[in-house]
Parts: sequence; structure tokens; C-alpha cells
Amino acid sequence: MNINAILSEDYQLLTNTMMLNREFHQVYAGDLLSIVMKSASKGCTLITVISNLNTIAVAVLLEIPAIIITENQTITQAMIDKANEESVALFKTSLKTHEVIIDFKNRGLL
Amino acid sequence: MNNVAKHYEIIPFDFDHAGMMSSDIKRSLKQLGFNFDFIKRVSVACYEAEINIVIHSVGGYGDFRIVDNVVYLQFIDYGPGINDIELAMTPGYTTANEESRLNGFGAGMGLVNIKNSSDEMVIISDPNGTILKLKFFITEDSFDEH
Repeated sequence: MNINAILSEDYQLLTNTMMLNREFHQVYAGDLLSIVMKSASKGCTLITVISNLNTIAVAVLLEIPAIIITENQTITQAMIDKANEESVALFKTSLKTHEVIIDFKNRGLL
Repeated sequence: MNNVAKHYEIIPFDFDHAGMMSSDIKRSLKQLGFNFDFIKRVSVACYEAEINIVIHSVGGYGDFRIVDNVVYLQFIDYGPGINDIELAMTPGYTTANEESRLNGFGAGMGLVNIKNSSDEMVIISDPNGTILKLKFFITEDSFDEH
């Protein structure tokens, strides 16, 4: 599935548009980064409330192409810059994590 | 591959720079042609160990070496040590503080992830510091098939 397909009025893209043509496969939701590292698979979209540089670091480590930060968490410019530098698409949403998953399912992204 | 050796300082409570060692090692291993699964094992263990030093210690360092067919990671910190290693190895057991948890860590899974990711793990600890030595054996499975 193309990352571009995530875009809708509920999701704000914070990074540049160059990453939107990349693909993702499935999603993984989790807030404990050790568990994310253990369980998330390469190429998935990560859905989490954890909004800091470590989230980007874990995404890079697992070759995760897109992150959705839920519940309107504050996202620093440093985090956006790091995501751009590492070519990770970063989205922000007011939806809760489970609402994102339901939305993905409803829109046929899963 | 006998001449790869790198050293990294790890700063306590510097969450922003935690992970620099693992991403640098990931880059090196990728350049050497290792496959995703092998690189993931090494870099997950490395990241967890870095985070442990950031969260729990007064500071320390990590060393990365490849000698013959083994990737070695060694982490040394200057205390205060792990009181009960067996307890610390229990999934879910944590002594991490609120700041660590807000950063997405402190789930009590770090050492468990390290053990599961590595081929050999040795940990020695007393109040003056902790030494963690990890080995990852390089085999045919460490590279993609050609």
C-alpha cells in the first residue's frame, strides 16, 4: 500500500512529500519501544503516542517507512527534522490509536 | 572483517542521542553486506543496551568489534550496578523512572530483548559498574542468498 493513501483530513503530514511514494505493509501499534522493536515488522506503519527522537530511531532500525503519532501529541521540530533526514514519513492525528486502525480498515488500507 | 573497531560514549539521561551507536553500527553492517535479520538482531540489542545506560547509569561507553566470524558488542558503565540480575532479567520488571517511561522505555523488556537478540550474553555487575558482553556469530544465514 502506498503511504500516500494514508492522507485524509484526519492526518497531517509533517515531513516532506518525497516519502509519500514509498510502500508500507500492514501496521503495528504500540507505545513501549522495546516491544515495538521486538514485534513490529519491516516496512509497516507504526502507530504510537510516543513522540520523540527515539520513535524515529526505532523506525530507522526496523526500516519502518511511516509513523502516525496519535492523540494530538506535541511533535518537536527536532523530531520532524530527524524524520526528514532519515526519510521516515511522519503524520499527526487527533484520533486515538484504535481509531486509526479502524479507519485504516474502513478505508481498505489493511 | 578483522579491522572493524569503534568506540562510543553514552551520556546518562540524554534520550535524544541514545541510539547513535546502534544507527552507526547498522550503517557499518549494511555496508559489509549483512542481511536485514542479522543487522536487526545486532542493532536492537545495541539500542537496548544504550538505552539501559542512558536510563540507569551515571554514564558509560560501548565498543563494537568484528573479529573473525563474531560481532562483539561490549558496554561498560560506571554504576550504580544491577542489584539482582536474575530479577532484572524477568520480563516486565523495571526500576525505570517516569521520564524514561514518557520516552517510551522502562517496560522491563530491555535485557530480555538483548538476550533474545544475541547469541551469547555475559553480564557482570557490582555497585561500581556493569559490564555487558554480547556475541553474534556470523554464519551463511547472516547474508542474503545470491
